[in-house]
Amino acid sequence: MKVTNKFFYETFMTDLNAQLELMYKAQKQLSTGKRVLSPSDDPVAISRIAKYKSEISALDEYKRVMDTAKNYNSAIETSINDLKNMLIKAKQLAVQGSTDTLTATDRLALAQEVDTLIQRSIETINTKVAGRYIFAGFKADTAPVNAQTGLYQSDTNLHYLDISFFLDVAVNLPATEFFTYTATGPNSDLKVLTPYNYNFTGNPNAPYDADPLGALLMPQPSGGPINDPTVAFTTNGGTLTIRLGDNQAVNVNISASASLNDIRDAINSQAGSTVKAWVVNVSTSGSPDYRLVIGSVPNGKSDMIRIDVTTTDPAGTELNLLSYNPKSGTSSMSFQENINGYNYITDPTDPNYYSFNNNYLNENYYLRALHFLKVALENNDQGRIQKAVGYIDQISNKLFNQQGVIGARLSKIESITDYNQDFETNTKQFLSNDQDADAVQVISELNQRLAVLQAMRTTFTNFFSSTLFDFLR
Amino acid sequence: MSLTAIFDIGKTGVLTYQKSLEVVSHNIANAATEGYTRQDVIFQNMPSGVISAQGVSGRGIKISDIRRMYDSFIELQLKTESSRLAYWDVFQNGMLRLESIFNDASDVALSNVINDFFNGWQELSQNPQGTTERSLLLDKAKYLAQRINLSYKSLIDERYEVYQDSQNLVNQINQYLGQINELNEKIASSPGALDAKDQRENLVKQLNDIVNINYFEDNSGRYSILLNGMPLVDGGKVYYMKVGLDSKQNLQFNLETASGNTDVTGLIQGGKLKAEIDLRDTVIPEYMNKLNMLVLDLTDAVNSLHRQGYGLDGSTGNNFFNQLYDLTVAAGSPDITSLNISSVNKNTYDQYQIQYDGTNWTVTDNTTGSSVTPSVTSWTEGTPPVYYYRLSFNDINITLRNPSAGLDFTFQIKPNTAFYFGVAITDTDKIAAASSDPTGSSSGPMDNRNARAIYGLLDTEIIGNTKPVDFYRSIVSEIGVYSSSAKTQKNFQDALVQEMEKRRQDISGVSLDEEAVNLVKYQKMYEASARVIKVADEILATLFDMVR
Repeated sequence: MKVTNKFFYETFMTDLNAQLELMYKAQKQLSTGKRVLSPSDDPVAISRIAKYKSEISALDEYKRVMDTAKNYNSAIETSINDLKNMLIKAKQLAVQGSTDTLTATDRLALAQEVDTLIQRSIETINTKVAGRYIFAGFKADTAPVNAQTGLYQSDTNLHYLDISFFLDVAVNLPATEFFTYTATGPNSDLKVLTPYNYNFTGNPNAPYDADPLGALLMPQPSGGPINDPTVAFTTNGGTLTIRLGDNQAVNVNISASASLNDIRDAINSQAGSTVKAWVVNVSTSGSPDYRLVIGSVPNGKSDMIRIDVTTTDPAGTELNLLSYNPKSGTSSMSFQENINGYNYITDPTDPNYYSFNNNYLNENYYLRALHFLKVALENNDQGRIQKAVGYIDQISNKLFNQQGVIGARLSKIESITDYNQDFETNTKQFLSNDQDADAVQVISELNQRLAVLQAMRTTFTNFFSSTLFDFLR
Repeated sequence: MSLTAIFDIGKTGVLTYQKSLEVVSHNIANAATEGYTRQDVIFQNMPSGVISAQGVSGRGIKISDIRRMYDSFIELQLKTESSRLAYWDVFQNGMLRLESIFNDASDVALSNVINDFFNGWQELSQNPQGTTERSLLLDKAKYLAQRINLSYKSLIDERYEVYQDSQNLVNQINQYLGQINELNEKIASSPGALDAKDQRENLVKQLNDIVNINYFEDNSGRYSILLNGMPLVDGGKVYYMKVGLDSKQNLQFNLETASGNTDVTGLIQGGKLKAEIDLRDTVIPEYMNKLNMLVLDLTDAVNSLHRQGYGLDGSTGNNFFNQLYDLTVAAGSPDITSLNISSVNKNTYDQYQIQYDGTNWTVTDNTTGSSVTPSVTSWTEGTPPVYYYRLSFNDINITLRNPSAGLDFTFQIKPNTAFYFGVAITDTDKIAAASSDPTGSSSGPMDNRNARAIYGLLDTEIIGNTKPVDFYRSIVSEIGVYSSSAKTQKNFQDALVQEMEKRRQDISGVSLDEEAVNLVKYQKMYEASARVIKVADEILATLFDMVR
């Protein structure tokens, strides 16, 4: 085997270049800190690297989302806490107001304190975080609660954010959940901050009785429930004599073969503005059960209503079912507390819908309960003040629930934060395994190669420092 | 036999070794010349020419031949392997450039940009009414479009570069062919022109690196050069090559023959030129198509959702990205809710005509003029029912909503789709983050449901059957595999050529040490021959002295 000089040079150059190229690569790995410098270095790893990077990028974004979600929910939590403290204060005031020793003036003073609480609670519920009302729906650019009417004026959508690949969390809490409510349709003129004894007679659109706390409910006829309020209820007709407290009695004439609806209309047209009647379906099952309800306007005096019936209808049936005497106790109708606690009518087109629907003027709502207390204090109405205490207890339960909801959201965020952190750490570890150069290894490789390079240079120069020609003298 | 014969013998020696020294010097001088074949002197003793039984010796020495130390088998092997090396060298370089276009090892990789785009939607979902978030999303979307446009343009540029390269290569081929033809004539007229043979050999080798050829030597020493059977140089004639583009913008190589131009593209089977063809017309278009598919399907998925959503100003039905197909309506009003492809084939960019008579669908490929049978799926959504029809043909899926009988339209996916990829939205208020009208009563500016839905596409199989980032990374990984195997092939070929070169050098190479030894040897022989003449002279002098 003959080794020619040219070949020797060429081989040497090839080897030298190969060595330099490897050193360049090692050097580049060292300076960039990356093991894979181009896809061909490790096509499998590059695919994984892209995946890990994509995941980490998503995780980074989720982190930001979680911060946002946390901020909003913490703000909600704080606000609910404030509301709770105000409620505790309100309850103290209510308890204080219900003691016998207080005078009307004292109660008026308490009412003013409650009014402050109402204003503060509206302010709290209209809290803005980063320019957004947290107790609103998607219309987060308008205050959720109208400070004048107390009505909810936003929508009820929950604003969700994705906080991980598979979980989302809401960052708002529409105030309709516990604080106040919306009035639409025939009730649009209604206001949450309406006194319970407000006389609506001036407004033809408003319901007569905005606060049917108590009313007389007709019993079910012995022959079974009335399926249709338009069929005849009384055979002979007669006269209802309605007396409200110490007022003059009013007579309502009922024609023969009148239906429940006819009787309602007769009462509403003949008994004057202080008495009002409704026909409601009290059935909770599918088959209807229509009854007549009679209440006073303004409400609150209905326990003092007395209804005497003059009729030739058979005793104990028909028109006789409408008698009521609170003193003698020989009454057919029964007194129902807070009749709007029953959600009798679900059909909004029903003419009685507005009076008995839970959807408005409901003391189960924070704002309405406080307002109820305030008006009761102003009116020196001890019974109502006591009632208010009950409402407040109910509402504090509701607040607890909401607090639980927010707490669950926060703990969800917290646990996902931990999970995401773990996930991120792992992913970064995987990425590092695939992508990062092992500095120690690269340095030692570089050193080895350097040693080889030096050896090559030395042997090369030594080898070629002399040829046979040098010896030809 | 006379005394003067010694002079003659000495003379032959001096002349022979002088010539030998010349050859050695020539060898030494060409020790580093590429393709140089070592020349060796073959000596022969001269017989006396007198037929005699006894006491007759020869009349000195002569050079019988100066031989090229040449092994045609090794040369042929070397040419073959070298041609393969040239192929892989060019191919690998091309793959390296592709890699740099799709380099995901760097931090500015395209997959990051895709992620950033979707993160923009996530960011928007946190504050759907924020102008900052909206502008940021538009910026990110524009950047994504620019990056893809740029990548695509790089691919087109790369194709153009390869075309330029192949033009240069063809010029070189023609130059080599001309030179080989000239050398052929020179060698035919003087068969001893060793260096001309070396030159020709070298040219053939370089030609073979560019394009794989066959060659053989005829009786007069001319080389015939054939390209897969088509003569390039034959019988003193040269057939020159030309390069151009065919109707599909692919490379086309033609030979100028007496009967006109002959397409020889298919005959090119190896060498740099084949690598150029493979790169330009197979590998690069494949990735252009993949980018097109990514862009088309991404646009379709984002636009479909975006059209359903509402902007801050209550606008709906807007495309987020530019529509990537051309639509011509002949009758009816097609409501195309989606148009995507599950893979790219040669009919993807054709123009299709779709007709609906109320029951049957007719699809015609206007470009090829043939009718296509679509597979039709239909379903209804909501009340009152909305009818949807999904037509699939040639890997194209098109979904229409409530088509009316008599519908007749044509559509064509834009060729170079990725070039047209861009953001259609200019007004930030028109970005549809909401699922219902934010100006209506049941929703508001904080409605982020559509933004979340679009963000969800990041984790949905929208590109064919793959998630966007997965699709993209599969492209990168594939190029990596290609490039890596090209590198391996090239290194292997490199080693092989080196090995062949070693064997060639073994026979044909110039070793300075060997030449030094020969130099000394011939020098000594020269001296010795001169001494012979001197001795003859002395003998004669002695003889003359006797006479005096």
